[in-house]
Amino acid sequence: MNQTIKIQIKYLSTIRDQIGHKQEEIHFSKGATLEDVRVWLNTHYSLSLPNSQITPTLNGKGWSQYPLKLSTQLKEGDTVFLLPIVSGG
Amino acid sequence: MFAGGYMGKILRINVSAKKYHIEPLKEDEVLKLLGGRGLAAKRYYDEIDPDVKPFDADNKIFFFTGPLTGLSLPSTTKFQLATKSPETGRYLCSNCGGNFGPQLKMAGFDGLIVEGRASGWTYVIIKNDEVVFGDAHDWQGRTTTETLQLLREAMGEKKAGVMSIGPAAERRVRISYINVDSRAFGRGGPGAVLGSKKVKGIAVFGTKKIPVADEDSIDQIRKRALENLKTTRANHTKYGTAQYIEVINELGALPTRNFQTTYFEDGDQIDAQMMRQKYYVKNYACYRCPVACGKVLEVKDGPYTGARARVEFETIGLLGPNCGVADFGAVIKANQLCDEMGLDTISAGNAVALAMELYERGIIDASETENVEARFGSGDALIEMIRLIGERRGIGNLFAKGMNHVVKKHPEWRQYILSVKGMPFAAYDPRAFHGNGLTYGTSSRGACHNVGGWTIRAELQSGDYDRYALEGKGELVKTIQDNRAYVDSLGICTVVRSALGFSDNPKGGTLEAATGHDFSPHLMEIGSRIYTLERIILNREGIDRKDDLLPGRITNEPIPSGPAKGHVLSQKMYDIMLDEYYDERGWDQNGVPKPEIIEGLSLKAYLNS
Repeated sequence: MNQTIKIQIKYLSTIRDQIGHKQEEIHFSKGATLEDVRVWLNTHYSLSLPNSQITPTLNGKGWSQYPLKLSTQLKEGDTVFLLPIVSGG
Repeated sequence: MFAGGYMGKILRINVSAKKYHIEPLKEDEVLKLLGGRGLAAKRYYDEIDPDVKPFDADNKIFFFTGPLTGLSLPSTTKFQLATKSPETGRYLCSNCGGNFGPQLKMAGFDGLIVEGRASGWTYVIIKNDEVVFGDAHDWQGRTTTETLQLLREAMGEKKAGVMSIGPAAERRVRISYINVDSRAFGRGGPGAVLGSKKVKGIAVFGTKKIPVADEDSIDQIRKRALENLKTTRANHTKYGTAQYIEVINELGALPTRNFQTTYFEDGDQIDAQMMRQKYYVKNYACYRCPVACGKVLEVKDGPYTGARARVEFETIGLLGPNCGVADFGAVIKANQLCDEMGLDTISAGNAVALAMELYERGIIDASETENVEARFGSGDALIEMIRLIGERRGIGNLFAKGMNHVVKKHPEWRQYILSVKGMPFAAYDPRAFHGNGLTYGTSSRGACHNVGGWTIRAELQSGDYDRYALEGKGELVKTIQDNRAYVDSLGICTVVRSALGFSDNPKGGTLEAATGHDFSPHLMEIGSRIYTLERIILNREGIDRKDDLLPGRITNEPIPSGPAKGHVLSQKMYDIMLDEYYDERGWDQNGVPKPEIIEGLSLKAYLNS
């Protein structure tokens, strides 16, 4: 039996703008990774940004802060933010 | 001298004598320090004694353009200022857009030095090589924007570059800014220095051609950069810097109620989407800027109807959430009031937030606020407290003197004050991005996110850093600071720097095409030289390690709520980053550049010459 996990996804800044809503709850297969979320995003929505310009955070930490980076596996109840590259200062 | 990029002359104006003279730009200085911030720092080093007070006639303001200012590339709008800061009492550098820098170049000058003190209120008009001093007695009390218009009319040139001060600077409020073509030399109180010299404004207009070494290459570089900016800066064009309110809030780094926490529960009331839906009027662009990141906003209903201002990320963060205010209309009205009086919105937002916390804790009361109920969340209180500061009434008179003076008068308030070297925090909380703590601590002018090095992207998205880690942050902050120091010396806006090849690995040949000189391989070294020169100046003015530390709220109080809940940047943690930073810079453990690094950057012989 294919087990699934529920993930909260929040869209920030121009990604929210293009998708048209701020957040949603999505079921992924157990073992899904942060990269799978990006792939899912681009198959379900038509975004002007390439995948490389969309950076996820997982439970408040940037993807790069996890040892497995974008291959980090998700677990039930995780929150993923999807945001564009930021620049400032 | 160079084949292009520089005009080769500096204009020195003495407002005491109402005289001026023209000096040559020194080629050896340009080779070492490039322009803008580097040249302004060198003049400050040479001419401002450590004992000079900010409002002494002997204090001067050094305005310097860069080799790219005014050229036919995107956003060649920037010029730089150095003076002794009334807010911190020490060296201040600041950069600004608008038309003034390009017009100064077209008038024939790379730099403008303003010195002395006029006997009465004065304005200055520069038209090519001619300088005229006018009587500004009747302009007293005029807002910054009214004064810009008066200057344009006095000069008779609609396209003139103009800078002005407002009523707050006339009263020597130490957080007063200089309005430049509706952009600002915002931080550190340079407006009050101009006010102390009784200069209400300066206008400049020029008709000279700025030389360029290789016109064809500049043309090609411009076309490539314009194409690049269409995609890479599309968010800036649509939302401006307000786009970061939501991101920084959701990451738990947005100062809320005087940095008591870092997540604002009403963030969706003051974010970029709300701005576009309810308040957006039009974009504003600086000189030759295709990005047009400025957003003119207007309140169309409610108690602040008619208020109009150009609101930026820092302004929203510090006048909004940091004062607990969720009414975007009140933020726009407060921003407009700051602009009219000529106040830095960052320092004003910090001062009002401090007043609100003191009021809510019962430390101050209505007798000191002229009966303003200074509570978090009140838009009316925000506006009235800003008015008190700008007009130096009630407790506003204390805050008008800056945070160094507030701490001196009330050392028991220190635990509620968020500042470094007397300059209040920008709108990021270092407990949520630890590199940002090092940014605030080691910035050449106080708790600034620009000069100090904007670490947010690198700490979140580069793939190289953990935002809560300590290791590597010293190297990161040094690299960003050095990059920024040379960019501040070029004469372009930081928003377009990548499109022109100005990263920490400069490429693209822009400077070579402009000047004919092979600057690019040396730019990061030039940035490091500028930063070290600034530190030498600060050391001379009494700054060392003790002044690079962060306030107690950051080092002692874990964030109580929101996405970054529980995080703190303790003194012990901060010391690890600071030690690494000093080591990377070649400074000793007290934050003083070692002799070998001064020698290595060719500063020793140079500064002694």
